[in-house]
Amino acid sequence: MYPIELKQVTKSFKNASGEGDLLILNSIDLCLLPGKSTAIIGKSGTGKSTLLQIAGGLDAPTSGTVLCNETDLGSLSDSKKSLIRNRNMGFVFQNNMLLEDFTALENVMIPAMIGGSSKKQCADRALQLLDKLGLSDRLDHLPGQLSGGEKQRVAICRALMNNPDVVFADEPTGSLDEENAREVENMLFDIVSSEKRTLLLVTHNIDFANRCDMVYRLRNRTLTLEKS
Amino acid sequence: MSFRFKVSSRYSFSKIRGQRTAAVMITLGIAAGIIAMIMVSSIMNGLQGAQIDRLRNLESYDIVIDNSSLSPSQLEDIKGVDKAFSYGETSVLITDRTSSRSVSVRLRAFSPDTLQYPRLKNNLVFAGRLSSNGLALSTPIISNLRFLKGDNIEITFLRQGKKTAVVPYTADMEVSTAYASTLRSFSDTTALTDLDTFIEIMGNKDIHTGIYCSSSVSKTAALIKQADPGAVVMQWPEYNKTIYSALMLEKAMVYVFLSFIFLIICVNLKNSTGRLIDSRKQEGAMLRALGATRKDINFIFMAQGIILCLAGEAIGAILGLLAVRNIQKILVAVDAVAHTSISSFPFEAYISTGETCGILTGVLLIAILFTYLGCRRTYKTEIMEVIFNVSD
Repeated sequence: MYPIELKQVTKSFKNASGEGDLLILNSIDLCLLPGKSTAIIGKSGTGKSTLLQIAGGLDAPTSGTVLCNETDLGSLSDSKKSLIRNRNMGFVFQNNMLLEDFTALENVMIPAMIGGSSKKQCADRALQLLDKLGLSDRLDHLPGQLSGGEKQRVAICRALMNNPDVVFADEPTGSLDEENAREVENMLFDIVSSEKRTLLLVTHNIDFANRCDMVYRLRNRTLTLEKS
Repeated sequence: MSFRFKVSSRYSFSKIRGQRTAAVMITLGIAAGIIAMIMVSSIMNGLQGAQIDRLRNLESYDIVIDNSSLSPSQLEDIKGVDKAFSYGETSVLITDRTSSRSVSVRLRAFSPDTLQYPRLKNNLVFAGRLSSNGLALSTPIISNLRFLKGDNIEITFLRQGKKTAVVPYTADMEVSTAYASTLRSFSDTTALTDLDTFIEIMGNKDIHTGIYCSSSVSKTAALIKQADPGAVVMQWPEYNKTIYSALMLEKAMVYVFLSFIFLIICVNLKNSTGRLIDSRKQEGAMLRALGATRKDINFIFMAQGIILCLAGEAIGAILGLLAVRNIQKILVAVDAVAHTSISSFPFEAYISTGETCGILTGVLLIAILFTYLGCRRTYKTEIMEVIFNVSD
């Protein structure tokens, strides 16, 4: 059983002119192995983020199947899909997308609150994660009061809050300077491996990708295995 | 507190990106609308109450009955009826034979025992005795037309004819006395006569039964109707329905006018909610990525609008009711500034709890509808549209 499995996934968009379809992904097959990290690399505009979002149930494929622990996401209602996202998946985006009205601690607690956990349970787990990523002194800071690297570390904690099976990271260091990017990279790999989570990383940074167990390149709408 | 309430309450008065200003403006807009509605409604109630009191003085019977099969004494046995009496009423023309000057008056006819009823006796002062076939005129008519007691005057009635609907009928009557009254129902232009004389001239056509009630007028009217199903029982608003309808229409028009003002506020609420949601789209999308359902997101934005509306309603209700309590001071201030004399008009502004609750509920429902219209776009937005926009 794979935490995430894509079978013959195709994605196309309507052309801006409204005539014809623009094919982005063509018959993609991909399995994420439990506890392993997988990177998808490729040039900008090749559809890496689209592939990640389809795998994470944030977008629907035009055809093909996405399975999460053998459950077909395409057959689920919005609420059931949301439940799977909440329990089994965690997301880190290039733009950290933290809630600006909430402190670092509250931002991390939100996925557990959505899942209905008690405030104490949420706070305990969030404090533990924030402590691991060196943010114990930033608990009550609003995102506006944090640096780019700190924000991304909070986003990583948030992604891991509900102990998801898979963490999806879409260019998590894309908006950071080199030093911060390296720090966030290290922290992401450390915490994912210490918590034994599956990671799907999308990046155009080859060095970053090569730290993963498997690397795929997305080119001409198809995936090619580059490292295993 | 569930995450939905936590997020929506935090969003409601968020300081981020100037949203507090927008939220405060929405709240104040609703508060201003509520204050206006409560104040105008209270003033209208007060003015109408004063107006109705005056009109009730002009037509002082609580209930008028036509086509009754019950006698006045039988009617007095019904619970709530304090006094029942037959009376005649019609418009007549009185002409002074010497000067040929005429004046139109309302001729009312009572039996002598009716005039002994305390509510009439204590408010009618006769200079002499109202004799049979005699006429009691108000002191202003006596002095204007220079009548003397014992004068024979010409009085013209309009009564039912055999070939035409009405025919004029002229009779001579004697001025037997003058009267004065504090009751507006016996105004300067009212003449009084004996009921038997009236029936002799006019027949039974203009004879009605008047009722004074000792308890609730509408309950008493219902009991009379129950006891005498064939009778036409009219309460004050019915036999003065033209003026009463005008007063009600006036109130309705003011409400329509206020509703237009409120509609503008609500359109503003819809647009502001839309703008607030637009600025929160990314966060909404992120919440969905974290596991919130589409319903959760809609709830958050709807609750945000409702929280703002409730805050506006609370402020508006408190300030509006305070303003109503101090309306005289406000009107005096308005008079001083605008050089008017509104405050000299005697009325007491009031608003019932039911009316206040009605306004607040109505406003809340309208605000919910417009907030929903403002939120509707979130139903249509796919997560990825927003996340793509951010990534790009």
